[in-house]
Amino acid sequence: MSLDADGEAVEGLAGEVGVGDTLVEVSELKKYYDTGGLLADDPVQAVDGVSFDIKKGETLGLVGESGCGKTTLGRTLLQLETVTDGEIRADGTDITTLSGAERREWQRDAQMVFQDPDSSLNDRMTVGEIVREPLDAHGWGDPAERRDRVEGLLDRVGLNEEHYYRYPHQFSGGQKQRIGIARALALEPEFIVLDEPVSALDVSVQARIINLLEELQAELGLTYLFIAHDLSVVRHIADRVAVMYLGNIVELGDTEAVYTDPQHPYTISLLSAIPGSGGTADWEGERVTLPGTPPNPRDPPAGCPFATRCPAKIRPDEYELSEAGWTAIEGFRNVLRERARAETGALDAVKRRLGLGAGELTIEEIHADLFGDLDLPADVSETVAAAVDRAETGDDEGAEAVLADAFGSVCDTEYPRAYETAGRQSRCLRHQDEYQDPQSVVRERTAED
Amino acid sequence: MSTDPVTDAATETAGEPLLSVQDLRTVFHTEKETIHAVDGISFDIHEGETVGLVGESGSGKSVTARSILGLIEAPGVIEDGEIWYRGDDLTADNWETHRGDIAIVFQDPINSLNPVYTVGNQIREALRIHQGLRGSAAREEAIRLLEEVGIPDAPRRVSEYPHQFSGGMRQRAVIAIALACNPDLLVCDEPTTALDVTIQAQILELLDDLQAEEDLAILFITHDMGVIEETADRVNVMYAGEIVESAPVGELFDSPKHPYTQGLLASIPGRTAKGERLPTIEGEVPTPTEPPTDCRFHPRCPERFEPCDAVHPDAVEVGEDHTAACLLYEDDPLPGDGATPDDQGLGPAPGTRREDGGDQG
Repeated sequence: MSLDADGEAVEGLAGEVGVGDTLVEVSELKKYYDTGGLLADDPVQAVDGVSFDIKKGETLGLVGESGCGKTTLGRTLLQLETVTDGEIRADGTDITTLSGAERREWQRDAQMVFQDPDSSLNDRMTVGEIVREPLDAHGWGDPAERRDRVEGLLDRVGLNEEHYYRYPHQFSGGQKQRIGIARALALEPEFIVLDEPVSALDVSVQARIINLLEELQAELGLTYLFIAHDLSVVRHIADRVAVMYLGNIVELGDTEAVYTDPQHPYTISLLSAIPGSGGTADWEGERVTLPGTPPNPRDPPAGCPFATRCPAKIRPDEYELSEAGWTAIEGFRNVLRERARAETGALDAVKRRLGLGAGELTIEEIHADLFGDLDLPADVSETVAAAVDRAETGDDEGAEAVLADAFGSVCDTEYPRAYETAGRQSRCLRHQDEYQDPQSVVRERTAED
Repeated sequence: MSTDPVTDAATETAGEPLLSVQDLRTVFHTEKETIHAVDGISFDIHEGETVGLVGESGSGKSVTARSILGLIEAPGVIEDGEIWYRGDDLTADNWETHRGDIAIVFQDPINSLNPVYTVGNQIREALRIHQGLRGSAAREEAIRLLEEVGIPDAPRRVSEYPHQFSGGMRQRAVIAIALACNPDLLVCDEPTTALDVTIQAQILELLDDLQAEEDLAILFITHDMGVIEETADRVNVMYAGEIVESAPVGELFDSPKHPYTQGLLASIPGRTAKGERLPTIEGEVPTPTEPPTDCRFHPRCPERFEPCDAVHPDAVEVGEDHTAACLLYEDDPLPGDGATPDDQGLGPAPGTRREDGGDQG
């Protein structure tokens, strides 16, 4: 139970949970976007089966790169998006099945603060109207009470009463974000999804907003889901952190533990990529520069989602191959996969037939480009040559299969379950006893570069 | 920075600078007032060197970049100062002479690319204008440039449109267009701000490689202290149109002298333990509308003392090759120097200022 400013008891769906208990329980949540239509591609698998808990009073950080599904996940929790599959339980109730009054009650209990205060505040409404809008919408109190409440909220977030009749454009970025926070607090929520709340702000303004959020949390007993791509902010504010990649949570654990001792190869890569010595990451090894970009979420890899870029991918033992050699082979496989996919896309097929296809690189050129002057062992170059032959006949998929057969591993075929390791969960097959652990593999391989 | 001995060696530049900005003042005349966006800044860039320009929004970083490129348009005007490039003062209308020698990469790649032309078209346009290449020669060069900036499958992608590229790929394409001018100086205005951290790492690595291969000088503008620490040899900190501190990168991060620099570094969340309040700088960056008569930072400065609201501080030497514009140091001796010369004539009354000034950095 929480108290509002006047000491009045407030109860909502999630209202009777004690500190440290689970507030929200997410299991196997999926959110796919289907574009529909005749020439439609496969659906975008924005969130692809994630499970985690959010405990009362904690801040759970959610980090990952753009397009990994973190915003979609936040919006789905608030029921701003419908769920494709899976459950979100709050205080024992599956909120994905709610409708009408109960659903409104959840949306009152759970609020959101958006990244861009410019587009999340209506420029034609005064600050007072913006903050009052949720009170009006939910029929909170009478007009005089609402007005008092709004003034109290403005004061609480560091603005003052006289700002009531001003318009958002008269405020700086940091002040606008304070308005957004006041609006989110209006209905005394238990749970707030903060979607990149400080990303658009300068560092000195950012620090003040973070301090405000921490004060509010302590004072009002709020629970936060803090979504960010800035890893240093998350390290400061979050108790636990979930790392997302391509719609999956790949690592989840205590923030300090994850930052000081990352387990999943993606977390290692992410932390090692932070520039500067600002004390954000403790990764002592070489920087891992990931090749390429994440795969298309319409067509995620069959096995581990990170397998196409992983710096610790499991490899077959029988080859004596340099790091550069392995990189070239993985790169070749990615090109073949992309080409094979382009062939199956209906639009692309039509384009090709009409002669609109771009000036394609021949497979010979790609091969020369990737392998260049690499000195490959005989057995490896034979297999690569066989794949080139297949691809030259137009069978990119077959060519990829040749390479997968020779150089692929369990990472390409098996989706890793969440292994309990070092006191947290990490989805990497290397956590099985028979394999070397990801950290030492990444260290060895990057040192060899 | 110090993790890379090669970068440190590059700070030891000598001889004539490639670009020398002298007392540059760029103002914008609006109906209400005159905004002194860049207000008397000076700095040099040597060949093959990366100079960082760091500061918050509104500090004048981007206006500095645009001034150097000759991209200031009405109501803005370069009111005073010189920009020397290879013996020519660009502000004396010499931009055409050196068109293409200086190229710029903007923050947002999607706004820097024309959506209705293919990426190849846009590179070829730059090649035609700056190198006179046409036809298949231009096409081949465009492909080579795309390959150079690390775009795989370049011959196919050269005929694709910007929307078919990912964010990181777009920024690579923008860099390829900039390289098509065959520049000696690349001005990068927040080139990685819109990108994710792993993609940012790729772009920073690319810029590093290009610099090594082509001996490019880079002016790197960002608000991200981590990025500046990683890329720059020398850092200039801007505040409200002025450079308030300038030092080699290692020196600046190890012992920042200006209270603003100290505040900026302290407010980075990773530097404060969890559960503790982040140190903050109160207030906002002011918009300078008058010539300075005081220290523009003084209303927000935790170290301010008597004369700060009445005296405009000049940059003074605070260490080797290290200057700060702050009255705390105006009459300070150089490190290792026993005397306290008071030649400024405006030293504060004894006891009103902190003797240990900025030594906590």
